Amino acid sequence: MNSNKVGALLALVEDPTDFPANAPSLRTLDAAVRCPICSEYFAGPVSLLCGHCFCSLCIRNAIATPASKAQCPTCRTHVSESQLRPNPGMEDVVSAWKLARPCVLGLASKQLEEDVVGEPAKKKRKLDDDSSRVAGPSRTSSTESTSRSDADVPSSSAPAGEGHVPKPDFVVACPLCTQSMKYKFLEAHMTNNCAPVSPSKPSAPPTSKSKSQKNAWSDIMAPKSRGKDKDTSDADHIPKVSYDTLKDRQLKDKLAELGLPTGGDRAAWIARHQRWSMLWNANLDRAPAKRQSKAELLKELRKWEDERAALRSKQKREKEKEKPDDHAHLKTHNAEFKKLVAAARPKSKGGATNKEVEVGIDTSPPPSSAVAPSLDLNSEADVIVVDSDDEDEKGKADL
Amino acid sequence: MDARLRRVNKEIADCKNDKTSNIRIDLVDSSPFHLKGSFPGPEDTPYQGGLFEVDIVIPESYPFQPVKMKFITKVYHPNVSSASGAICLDILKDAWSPVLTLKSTLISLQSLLCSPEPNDPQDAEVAKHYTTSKRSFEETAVYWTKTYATPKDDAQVPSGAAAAGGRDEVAIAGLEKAHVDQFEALGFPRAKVIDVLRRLNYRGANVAQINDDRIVEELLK
Repeated sequence: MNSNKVGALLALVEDPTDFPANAPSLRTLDAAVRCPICSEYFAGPVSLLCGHCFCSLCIRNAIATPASKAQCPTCRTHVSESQLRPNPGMEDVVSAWKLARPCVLGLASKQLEEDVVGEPAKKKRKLDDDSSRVAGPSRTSSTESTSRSDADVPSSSAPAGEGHVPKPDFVVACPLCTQSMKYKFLEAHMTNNCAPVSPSKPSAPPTSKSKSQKNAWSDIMAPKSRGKDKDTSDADHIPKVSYDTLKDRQLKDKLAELGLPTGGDRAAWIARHQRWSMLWNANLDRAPAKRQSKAELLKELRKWEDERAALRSKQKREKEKEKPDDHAHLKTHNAEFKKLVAAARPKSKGGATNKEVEVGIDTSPPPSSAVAPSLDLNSEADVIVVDSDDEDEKGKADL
Repeated sequence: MDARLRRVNKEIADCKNDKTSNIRIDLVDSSPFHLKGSFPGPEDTPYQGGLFEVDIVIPESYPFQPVKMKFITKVYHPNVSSASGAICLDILKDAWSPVLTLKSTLISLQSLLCSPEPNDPQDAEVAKHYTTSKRSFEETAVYWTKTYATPKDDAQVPSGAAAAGGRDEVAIAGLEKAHVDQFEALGFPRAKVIDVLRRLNYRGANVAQINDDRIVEELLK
């Protein structure tokens, strides 16, 4: 019966084992273009500084999990969200492989029936082609990212050396929103809740100055990377927000600004904003042609919230289920508890008989004597009954 | 179908198709998030020849949170609780990474059986046994493997549990029969003698260091 269910589940799965076992190289190839976190084909692949590649959404999710300690899931080197670089080369490989897969799959299964001698050479060549294409772009992109980070040396190395304070004119990345600016402007920028500084919007003089400084800096240092990182100027990554410094009102405004629903409590707003930033930023890591529309993203966000709510209520229900269970347990074993209490009493009291003990339970309930007098006489009988239950519970705990 | 379900399905498929690793994953009930894994005991260890079953529960936020695993089969190992089957292994706790899979985690458990870590024990008594007398520990582990992990036993759990009653309790506790008989002859119940000797780690070189009076004292408590 179980094996049937396993079979039904496995029928739904499209994975490297679709390829015949005698073509392990094809299985390896299929596995190589899948994200190690979700084991789907890379969706908006990004590389980390260490060169490992993941779906943008997966790695953002992994970094956001506190237990991950901001490590690369594969090699455990330190990572941060600001270091993610889109990997368009890998994205091309994935789309090419998706197209080629049914064809290769057909060839591979046909080859099973036919002669096994002629085909493998051809297959091998094809595989080599593909794997070199896999290796090619990812290698170049990783060198690109290192050279790019070389260009940013002041900005990336300054926060790393936490021991010493950088010079005021040093360009550093804001630890909250990762915008780069001169160190002397950082404090003003952070106290301003990382307000995105734009020339049109009048803001505090130091921050606007920092913006122009930053522009000049990036124009000189990394004009190319700027163009590459942000393919479209209309869509920008949502910067990280430190929610603790925001008042409820500000938080609500932020959601409204992004066109998100503002229902629920503060915790819900924060979760919603975090999730939305994740979805939005991950979407931007895809090639423009493959991006989802805002409506689709909103739908995804709603689905996520619904699932979360369903999970919450399920957990709540389970918790509630456990409580009456306790009570039922107490009721069914009441007689046994009484016996155990009776058996335990003589030991502590010395020579007391069982009968005396039972009387003792009913008449001298230590904690209740303080409660009972405060209630009116009519209910006192009830109180005593409850007390004997209490005793039982106590007895249970002691034993 | 959400991402977690898709990934778990793939992992089950992966294990099913991989004949070389000898690792199996089966469903326990209708949910794909409660599974039972099993693997053979590693060669050249006291666990050789046994089949070890592991209870697997996949949390809601998998793969970003570690899977919950514990041994169903009783195992005599410093990093596995001999009572509950709880496992002390870093990747099941803070060293988890989302790229780890059910298969790779089960393989890690298999290699945990090869290389016990008595300095970070889950079961302190077993770890003490391991550090005082490795040979005696291994004999006990072999006995446990024979008693609890031999494949013929896992057909029906209840019958296995019933059979355990008739098994040699002295050997299960890793003690010498002569020692137990000696104190039982003084008039103490056998179960209590076994319990006290096990707690005092009355094994190997320790036997010479523990005074008989001390044991009698413990027995009288």
